[in-house]
Amino acid sequence: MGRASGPEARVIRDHLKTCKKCEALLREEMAFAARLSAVPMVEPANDVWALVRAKTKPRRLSISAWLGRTRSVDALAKRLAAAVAVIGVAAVTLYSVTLNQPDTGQEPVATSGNSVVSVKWSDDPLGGHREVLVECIDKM
Amino acid sequence: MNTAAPKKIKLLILLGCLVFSVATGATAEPGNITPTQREKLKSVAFNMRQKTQRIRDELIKARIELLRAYQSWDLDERKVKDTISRISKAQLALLNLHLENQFELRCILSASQFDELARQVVRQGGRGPRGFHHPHEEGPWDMPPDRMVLEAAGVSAEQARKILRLYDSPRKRELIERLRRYTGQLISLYSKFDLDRATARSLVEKIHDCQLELLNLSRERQEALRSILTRDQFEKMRDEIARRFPMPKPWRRPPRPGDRG
Repeated sequence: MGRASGPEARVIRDHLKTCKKCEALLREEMAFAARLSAVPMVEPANDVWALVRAKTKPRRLSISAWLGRTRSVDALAKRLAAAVAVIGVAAVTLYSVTLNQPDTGQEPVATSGNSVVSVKWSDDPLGGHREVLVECIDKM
Repeated sequence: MNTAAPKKIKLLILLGCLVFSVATGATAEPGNITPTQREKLKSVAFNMRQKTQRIRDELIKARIELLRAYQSWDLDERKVKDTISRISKAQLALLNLHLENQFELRCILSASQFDELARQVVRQGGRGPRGFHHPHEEGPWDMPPDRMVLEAAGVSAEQARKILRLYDSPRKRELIERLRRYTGQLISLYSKFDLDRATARSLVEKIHDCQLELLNLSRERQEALRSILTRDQFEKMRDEIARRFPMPKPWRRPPRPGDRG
């Protein structure tokens, strides 16, 4: 009742004056709330979520830690070889995906619609090929 | 003593060499170029760059003039035709310049040197044209007007339908498709040392025909637009387009260390 706003509280108060049943119910609820507030707060002995988080926390990948776990030279060599192979494969894949794309003359469809064109693709369709050619000659 | 360790280290060194050779092989450059060849190649590259830039500057100037001409309700037919002719000449000049350079390269390099260069070009070709504003064919007057532009112009539903139909041109789509196909064919022709000159010239002509037809299509669309809209509607539409797409600044490739002047 304490939380109700002015007109609402007035309506409730008026009702309680005439309705014995509701008045009794309110008194009972207030007594229960008073009893509850007297009960001390109990903290859990162990926070289950903290335990779960601790168990499921991802382990940090550290090369030194990874190599450091190996005890023998044999295992260390194996691990180093694997690391070099992975880096090599990744480098070659990256090269072929990003740089080694043949120019087929098929240009990607542009998605942005708010750039202004001064020289269009159709004005110089071989422009890209020419620029790459000049760059390659420069490197020779 | 553990004898497996040196074996593993040998294996590791071998693996490293393998990865290194794959990586360097992928980026190998054409070898055995004599100093004389190098000088000639440098000169070809320098001229190619200079001439391309000059023609592109002319193209940009002409494109901006065409854009300005299209912004006026009273289309200056002569001005439009002259500008289109200038653009068309510059387009052809670029195509011919590339063709001439291809001939020159074959006079400087041997077949095997040229093949290596062609492989390099294919590797570094990327997937799109460089140094262009994107999207390639979507200038402010080439795009179908969106709802905001149409509302700003205050067009009726019927007018809007006619305008959108005007922009949905199967002919333009077909021309761009043909242009791309011929360009692809020409690039693949340019990657061979034994260049079939007659076929190359014929492809250059075909590409240029498509370019000219695209330019004429844009002129026809401008004329049709004026037959659908009133002057007031056209000017409102133009102002809205100009507000959203300010006049382009000429694009210039950033200078490179090899550039002179």
